[in-house]
Amino acid sequence: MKKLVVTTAIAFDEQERVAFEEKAMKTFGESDFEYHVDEELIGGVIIFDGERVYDGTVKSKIQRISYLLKKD
Amino acid sequence: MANIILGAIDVSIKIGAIKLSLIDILLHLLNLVILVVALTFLLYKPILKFINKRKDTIESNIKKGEELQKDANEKLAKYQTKLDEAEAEADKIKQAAIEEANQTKQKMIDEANVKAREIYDEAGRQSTEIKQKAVEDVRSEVTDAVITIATEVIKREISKDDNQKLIDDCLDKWSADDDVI
Repeated sequence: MKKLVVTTAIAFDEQERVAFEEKAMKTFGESDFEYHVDEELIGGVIIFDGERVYDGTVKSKIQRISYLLKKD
Repeated sequence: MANIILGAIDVSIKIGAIKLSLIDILLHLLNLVILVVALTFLLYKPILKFINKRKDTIESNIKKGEELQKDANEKLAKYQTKLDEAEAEADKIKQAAIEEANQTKQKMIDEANVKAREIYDEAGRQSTEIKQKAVEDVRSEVTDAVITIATEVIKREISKDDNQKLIDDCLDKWSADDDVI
């Protein structure tokens, strides 16, 4: 079973964790979960499955917007 | 005999108070003839000879003078020709020098114009670059300020429900197209 490292800006409560894991396993398959919190992410989630990074954080979106605004 | 002859020809002519004897007249005529002959041989011929010699000398000098004059005129003409040629050559050299100076001047003017144009274009290019850099710097600073403000606002305003919705949307999206950043 693969391991998913999950980092969020706000910690899940129990109910939220169960709902998240159920939905995540539909996408990633059966997995073990390791949770971290980083307020700098602002919102959203970043998941590392051992090979790839899935970044859905607000911080990355803001960085993307900043890059596009500065580009010609 | 002589006395007879002389007595025969002793005739007198009287004109007023003047009495002229024929013998006297003849003797005077004879004297005159002798004098004339003597003068001819003693004076006239030498003087004529002198005069002719003088005339020849003068004619010779005149001829020499004419030859010298002719020679001088020829030389003058020759030197005048050389002078004219020298003046023409000097004019040609002067014209060539003027032409070359004008060409050099024009070349320098053209080079200066090209250089000025290059400097002007370079100044324009640098000015454009500076303006572009200034615009980019301003855009970058404005973007940073906007992003900073937006980040702070989002941090302050985002709720747990908003966060949950974001997470659910991400999972749905990854499930649909396997997106990765």
